[in-house]
Amino acid sequence: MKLKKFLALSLALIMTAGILAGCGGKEETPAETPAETPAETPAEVEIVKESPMLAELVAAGSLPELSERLPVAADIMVETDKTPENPQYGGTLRRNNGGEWDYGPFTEEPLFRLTEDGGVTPNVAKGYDVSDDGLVYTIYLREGMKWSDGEPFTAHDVAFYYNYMLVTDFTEENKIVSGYNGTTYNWYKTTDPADGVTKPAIVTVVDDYTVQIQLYAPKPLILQNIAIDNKWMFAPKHWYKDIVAYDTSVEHWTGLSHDVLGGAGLTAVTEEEAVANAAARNARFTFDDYTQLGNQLGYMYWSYKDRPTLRAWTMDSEKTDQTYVFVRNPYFWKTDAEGRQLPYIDTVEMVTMDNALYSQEMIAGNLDMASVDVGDFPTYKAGEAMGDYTVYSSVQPNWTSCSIELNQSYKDPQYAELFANIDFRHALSIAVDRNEMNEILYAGLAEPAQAAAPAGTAQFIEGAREKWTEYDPAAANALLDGIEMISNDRNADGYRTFTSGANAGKPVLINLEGHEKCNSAEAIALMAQYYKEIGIQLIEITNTARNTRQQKVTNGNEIMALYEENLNVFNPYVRPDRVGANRNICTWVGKYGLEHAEPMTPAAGSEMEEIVNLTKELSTAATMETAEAVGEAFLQSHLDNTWIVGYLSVTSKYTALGNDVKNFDADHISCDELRFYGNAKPYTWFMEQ
Amino acid sequence: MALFKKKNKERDDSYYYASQWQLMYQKFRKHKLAMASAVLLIVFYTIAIFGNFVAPQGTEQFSGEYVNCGPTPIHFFHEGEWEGPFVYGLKRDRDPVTYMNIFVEDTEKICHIDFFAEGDKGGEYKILGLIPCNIHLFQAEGDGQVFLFGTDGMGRDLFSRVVLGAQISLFIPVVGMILTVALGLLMGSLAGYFGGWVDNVIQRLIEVVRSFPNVPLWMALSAALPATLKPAQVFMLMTIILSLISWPNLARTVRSQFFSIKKEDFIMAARISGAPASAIVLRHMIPSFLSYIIVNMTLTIPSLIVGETTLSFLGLGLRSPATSWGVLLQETNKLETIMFYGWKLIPMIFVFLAVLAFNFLGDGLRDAADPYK
Amino acid sequence: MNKNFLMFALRKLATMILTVFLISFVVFFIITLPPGDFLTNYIGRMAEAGEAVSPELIAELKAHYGLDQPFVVQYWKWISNIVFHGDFGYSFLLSMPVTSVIKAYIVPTMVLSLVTMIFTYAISIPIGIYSAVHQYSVGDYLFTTIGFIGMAVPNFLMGIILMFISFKLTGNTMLGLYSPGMENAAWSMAKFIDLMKHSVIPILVIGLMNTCSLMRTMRGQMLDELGKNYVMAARAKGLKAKAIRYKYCVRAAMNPVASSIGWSLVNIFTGTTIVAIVLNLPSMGRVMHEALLDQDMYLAGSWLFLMAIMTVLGTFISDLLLAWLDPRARSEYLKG
Repeated sequence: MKLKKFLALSLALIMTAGILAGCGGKEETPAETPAETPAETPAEVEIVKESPMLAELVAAGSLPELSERLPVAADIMVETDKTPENPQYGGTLRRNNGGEWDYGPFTEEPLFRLTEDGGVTPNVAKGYDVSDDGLVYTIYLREGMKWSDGEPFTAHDVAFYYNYMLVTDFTEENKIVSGYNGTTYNWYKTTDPADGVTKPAIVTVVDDYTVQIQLYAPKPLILQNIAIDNKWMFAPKHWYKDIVAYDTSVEHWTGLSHDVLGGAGLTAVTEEEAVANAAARNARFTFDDYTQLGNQLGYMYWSYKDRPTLRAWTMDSEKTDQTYVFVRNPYFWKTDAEGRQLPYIDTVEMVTMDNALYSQEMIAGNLDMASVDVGDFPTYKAGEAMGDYTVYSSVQPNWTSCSIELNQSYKDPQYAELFANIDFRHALSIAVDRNEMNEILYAGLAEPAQAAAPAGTAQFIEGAREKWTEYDPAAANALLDGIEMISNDRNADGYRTFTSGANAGKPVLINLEGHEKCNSAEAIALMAQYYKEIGIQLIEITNTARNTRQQKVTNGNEIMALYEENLNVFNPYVRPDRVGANRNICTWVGKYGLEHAEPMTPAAGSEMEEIVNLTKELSTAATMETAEAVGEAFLQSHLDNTWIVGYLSVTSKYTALGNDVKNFDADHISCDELRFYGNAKPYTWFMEQ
Repeated sequence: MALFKKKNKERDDSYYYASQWQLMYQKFRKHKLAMASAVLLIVFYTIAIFGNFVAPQGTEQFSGEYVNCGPTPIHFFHEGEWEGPFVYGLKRDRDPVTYMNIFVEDTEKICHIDFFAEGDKGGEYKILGLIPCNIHLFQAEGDGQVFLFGTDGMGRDLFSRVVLGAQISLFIPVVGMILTVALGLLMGSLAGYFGGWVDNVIQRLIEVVRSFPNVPLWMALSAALPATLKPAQVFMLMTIILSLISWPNLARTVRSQFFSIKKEDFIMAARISGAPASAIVLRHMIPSFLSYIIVNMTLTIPSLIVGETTLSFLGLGLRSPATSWGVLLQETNKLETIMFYGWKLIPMIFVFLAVLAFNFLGDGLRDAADPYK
Repeated sequence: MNKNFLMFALRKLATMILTVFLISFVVFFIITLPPGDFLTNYIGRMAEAGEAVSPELIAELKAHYGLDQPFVVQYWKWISNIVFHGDFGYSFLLSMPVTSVIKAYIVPTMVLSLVTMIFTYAISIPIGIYSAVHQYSVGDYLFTTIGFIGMAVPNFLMGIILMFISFKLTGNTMLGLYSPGMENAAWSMAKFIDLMKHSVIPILVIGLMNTCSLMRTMRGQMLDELGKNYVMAARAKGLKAKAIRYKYCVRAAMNPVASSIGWSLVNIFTGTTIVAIVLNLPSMGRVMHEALLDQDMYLAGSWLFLMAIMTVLGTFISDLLLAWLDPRARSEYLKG
């Protein structure tokens, strides 16, 4: 399909270039200050540099001048390549609300932003330096930059977040404890060669606009880790100081003075006090305990009105409101090439409704934007003229859009054995008529394919997408006939049974957990009918108790299989979450995933053991070569084992967008790591008035 | 009544000699709508019983070839000449912009409709679940397709699914009705006959049950059902839940009937002559308001039919490939469906007809049950 | 006479309290029925956000919420907090106290329910009278037909069909309670008119369902009354037919209808739940649905409980009303 430019090999190159240049952010600070640009166009009318909405407030005296709201001229971030011709300020963009993990990334501003080629580019940070030994990272911030409430954003906000909210403790069991949400956190881990202990990095304040990260061993992927896994490595200290628990009279786990750790001016707040202070500040900040408080206000803060952010728009609604209104941040620190403060659009409304209703509301002209499920493509397309919008297609690094992941750590030993049998996965793969499914589910828009990287990506392997994709129920039956533990003949309902053990005489039954958000029911119903032909029973158990899915995934060995609708893999070693044995949402890995509180140990010499070891190796990889080698090994393991049985793949991400919304970059790559629409920089879009 | 209406016509003598049942039948026959409804329901139930024979497709058939195909017209004349019932072959095209399927009749190709056709096309089934058979009422010859009501998003014949769905949508409410009536009768008569604290307890129970908004209650209860149950079992359990909620109406009426009848002379007489309580209730009291119970029975069914569609709409009922009218209506929960695939609303007509028919039947029975009025 | 009425009201009140207590117990039982508990779901959600949760934390949370204790203890904790502290617990789904959630949704839900109820009664009583008086006339058939359509078409489908008709006629689907841009605007005449426009479909859908049965009850009662001897007597005395109808028959026929107000609340709440999902209304229906699927038991339970209490209260009021209107009712009740 149209994966033309894609995710790169050139990561190592960029990294070294960054190190050599000394400061990766230099090239994006232009020589001439943006404030001076109008002088070059004397004949024309003066360019309006801020939204009329804000100009009114300035005129009324309730908001400082634009120049006081932006960082110092040299430190303004200029969106050079996204500047449209004749942009207009104002307007309200009404779009679908896909939940906090949808509207969050839409406005997200990370310290570093991951680029489409796998590198990083400074964003909130102005630039960085790496010491020659690769152990010290110095991060430069933007002088004069402000939070959305007008308070200055400084190095103390970064260090405070890391030292008092994120990594609050480092215990003997080598656990890094995040005080604010009570979880272990491991993105900054490196192994100290002196004592062989894996320790968290040390983050300190150098001056108001400089932060330092000190590692124990080189970790070339640290900036990527920050860009993906700890996107918001900063928090408004002035806002949090009485609702975060700490005690500066006690020595910090780093052993350093509280002043260099971002704790200057702090004394002590207990967890109870923090909860009480939050509730006293606003009834909306009433939480049941400190964990809740941390998880909500500290971690998923973007859903809370009044919490200062660095984003282009900030939440202005109650969480119980049906429509979330995001209003422009008057202190947003980016401008276009001609010096206009971004964003162009004044308000973004995230409209919550039943998923089935978005298409009709697009057609009725009540929405400006909706994310399109592939199955609804014909509907959206047919309504384009009626609703005065266009359906755009972007690219996504899609491995599969319809697949089954069998849990390799399932608690029933007989099923575990069956799932580990590659012939079983082979049979499931060729038992399904991918072309017919494509017609029914996706109007023929998908690609019948095995779960693997699509052509055009760096991870593409010739032939991997074609493996075991030929529809052949007879061969599938023959494969199953060859598995001794299940019968060749069928029971009264038409299913194979176990021949021995605790399940003897019982049908081979897979409980498949669907995905509540993505109309998986039809796909699963189809799969069930194909599986029946080969004597395997498939039952979907999503609808009755939706969240048992997550609960069972967390338990790691309760879920039997998972239907995965959209598996995108950005880069196997930059982010191994879906291909390696790490996270606890990854069903095929099951409880072997390293993030489980007590992960299971795979059998010695098994394919799963290899994956687990590779994942461990990657987490402390000291050179790019090691990381790349692990990435390749991941891909090979997936090719050899077909851990994820993929049926269809959709490499296009469709978006319906009103025709009055301009400057939308339809060519952006859409995936979690690049923050979906965030990668298309919504703050550079504008609405024709 | 007499005040505002003309006097009844004079009755002939047979009226005075007819038994109660004969009178009821005569009265019922006069209620035209009720008669028509009864006939319609008999037709519906007969079709449902022989559903696998009537439906050209089985529940588990689907096809990627015929996704969202509108109803296929049945023709009799080809180029002006009589051909008997036939359909033209279907050519599938895809709209290059929207990717929607477009089906065009291939007028070159004539596929006659065979009645009582034998063959694998419609799949095998068992008559009344017993005798294996593969004869279907009608089928197009060759690779022709008769989609009387069009097809759904999985390329399944809607007509077949309506017919097969009737097996669940028309019969399970009957089970639910029996349960409801049994519970209502039991509770009502216990309360009414014994009175005192029994009555008090049952009254409280009735109030508690009646105070819950139905839908949230269904939602809560259905969330409690084990996920591994088969669709039919799920549906059965949902029916039981429905009847657990709907019995208090009947119970209340039965109770008050009991209170009024208890003081009647004939009950007193029975009691004095030493009849046991059970005999008094079953032989004397219940028959005296049997008509009310019958009416209540016919009126419970339609509310259960509508209830089923609601549960399916919320995703709490049956799931594909199992089919019921509620499952079929689930696909119409989008405005675009009506816009682009209007035929998918056809199942609604059957829900509508069945509900109305039961209501009219109930009306007719109510009038008939009191033949002396 | 007055003392009699007071006795009646007191006895009703006593049974009402008993009923509410029973309801609370049933509610709590129902919300604890589904397998698993809200905590495991909550932990699952945290896990999906990329966090590992330690077993110690789980145990700690379990103890905190009393989940390791027997049913009765949990029940007591729940109900005593409500009764003594007005604390309905904490919603894990929305990460806020249940009281805040209820506060946010109760007004739109109640307004919608009340307006619908007024609509239902305002429409069905006059139509019922008309149909009875003009039995078998064209109007009678027309109203009966409309009523039947309201009853026989599932209300979610009715909502979609009306939405479609609205879209065809006005180009707008009238989803939600306000047009885009109006939701957050300050209150004005335009906003009010917009709200009125958007209320038509939900009120029609919820109303029609109940209108049918009410209309038929009213019609039946009216027909019964018209056939009674006192009508004949009044007529014989020389009163006009019209006067008899409206002065006596209607009043008598109203009694059973009035007494059903409490129960009709149940139907309206039910209708609101579904219609809210179809028409995207900011009522509690959607949240309730989510809460139940999520086993967010304090939220689901509190709402279910509140709805039930509201119904019981409605019934209590309509009982009093009936007793006030019709002395026969209270004397019968007092006799047992």
